[in-house]
Amino acid sequence: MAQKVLTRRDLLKVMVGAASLGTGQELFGKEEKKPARVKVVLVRDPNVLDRRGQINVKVLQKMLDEAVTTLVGEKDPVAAWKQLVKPTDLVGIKTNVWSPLPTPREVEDAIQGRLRDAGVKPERIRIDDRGARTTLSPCTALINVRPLRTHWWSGIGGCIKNYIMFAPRPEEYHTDACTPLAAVWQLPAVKGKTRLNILLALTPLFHGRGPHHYDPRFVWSYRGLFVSFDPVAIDSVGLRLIQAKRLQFFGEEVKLETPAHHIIAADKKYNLGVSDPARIQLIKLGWKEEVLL
Amino acid sequence: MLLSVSPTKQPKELPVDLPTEVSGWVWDGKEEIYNPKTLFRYIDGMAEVYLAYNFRLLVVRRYTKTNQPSLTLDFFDMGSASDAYGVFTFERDGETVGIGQDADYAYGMLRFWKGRYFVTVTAEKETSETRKAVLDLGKGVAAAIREEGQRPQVLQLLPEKNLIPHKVLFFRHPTILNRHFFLADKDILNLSPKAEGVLGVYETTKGKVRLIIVRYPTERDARKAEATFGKFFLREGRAKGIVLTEDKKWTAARRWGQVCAFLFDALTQKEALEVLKEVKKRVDETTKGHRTKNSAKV
Repeated sequence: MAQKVLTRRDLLKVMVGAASLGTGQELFGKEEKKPARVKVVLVRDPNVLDRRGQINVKVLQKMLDEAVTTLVGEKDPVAAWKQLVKPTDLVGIKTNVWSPLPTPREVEDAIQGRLRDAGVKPERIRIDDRGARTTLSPCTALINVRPLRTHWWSGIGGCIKNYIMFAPRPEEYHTDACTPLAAVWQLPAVKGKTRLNILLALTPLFHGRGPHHYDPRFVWSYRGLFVSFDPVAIDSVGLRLIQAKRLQFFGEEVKLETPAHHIIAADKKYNLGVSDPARIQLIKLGWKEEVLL
Repeated sequence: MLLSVSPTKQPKELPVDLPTEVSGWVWDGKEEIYNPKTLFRYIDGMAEVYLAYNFRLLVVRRYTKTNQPSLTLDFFDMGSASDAYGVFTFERDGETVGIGQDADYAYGMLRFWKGRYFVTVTAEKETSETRKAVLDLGKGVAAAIREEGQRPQVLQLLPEKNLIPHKVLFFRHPTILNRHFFLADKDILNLSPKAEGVLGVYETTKGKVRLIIVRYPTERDARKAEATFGKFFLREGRAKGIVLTEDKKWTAARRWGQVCAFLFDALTQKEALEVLKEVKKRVDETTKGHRTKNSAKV
């Protein structure tokens, strides 16, 4: 067995000494230079869901437009999307089809609509999840979109994890609480192609149960969505939201089944983005009630 | 830690005749079958849990009724009663219901084990009708499994005083243990698919004490576990088999033949040693055959 073993005693030592592993620096070593601050935009609207939980597509479109224009720094949504993609791009939308909480069709339609508005012909837009390695690999631009949820094996399922279907053997990235997940972003099918990350928080899952780690008791109507160029920053904010909701719901800190180490590793080890909340500029738009962040 | 998987031959027929209709919900006639290599396609993120319990085969059926939420039956062949029991203990939740050998129900989901099978029945949405249908389907499946299974014998070694029964966890893999009680990021207990491990949580007036007992396939395996635990956890207390840890509580370990016991969070040295003394008594009784094979029900 390797000599370096982290045991319960080592963690006790840290806790007793009031030290912190929060930055992950001790775990993953020297950090490469990154931008001083990265932007994550959150937009919420109470009317995006009706009483039955159905999506109001007009409200959703407005939310998406507000988020993207704020992120890009353009007033007009189409102009903003034109900065993200070119008509010559072959655009892949990496969606998520997990049956209890998939990326809603209305969101996929809204994205496709804006891609067409930006001049991308329908035949140059692809959308897939499980078949992404085959269908989306040839794409020159990727839009990464999925719902936020807890995940038994990786702590949370967010934008970093959404690319796992590009891997030939996804289960190989499950080692050590999915810490190597960000390595998927180095695959040729993915590297440097992502133009936008969208983390949906319309109805996030904040605690799971059973074979599929899903329980409708722990789904709440947050009615929001996040956008960012940085998949690590957006997941870092998503994790904070999940933790805040768990604290609110359970009345005490209930740890995730698995710590979301892969987010810190994506930053400190794989240099994919920024995980440190102090270096993330969170811009909050719209509905503020129980925003939790 | 990556779990190893082995290919499984798909049976032509299930050895269990599953119900085709219950309370008006009718099986749609389709069946999905997954083996250790394909389980990831059906279960995103938790397949490792089942693989860690030597999972063999999963059969998925759906039951529908007009204008009612559908029901999903997940029927896991775990290969042994110990593993079926183990998966059940991994995630106990909700109210106890009398189905199979142990069962619980919460918010539209029934979980139970019987024989070498672990079963979940899930309603798309919980209503009074689906609750009844879920339980009825579970009863039907349980009745179709003819033989009961034996609980892991290692359970007999857990002292019963102050034990919290619904927190008992059976495991064979460090991933499962760490989910409930983080011990180390490497396997310092020398676990394997043939090892039988149990975690017991004891509630005392002064806090919780945790006891891990592992029965290894061979004495050599147990000796190795004793050595690695001593080296990486007991450290300065290795020679005596007991140490005061950084939170001012006691951790102790002992080995008797193929069995190792590890006690955590005792407030005093005396308390730690007394618990281990009780375990030894039980090891001796089991060795002599004084305890009946299926006596421990936790």
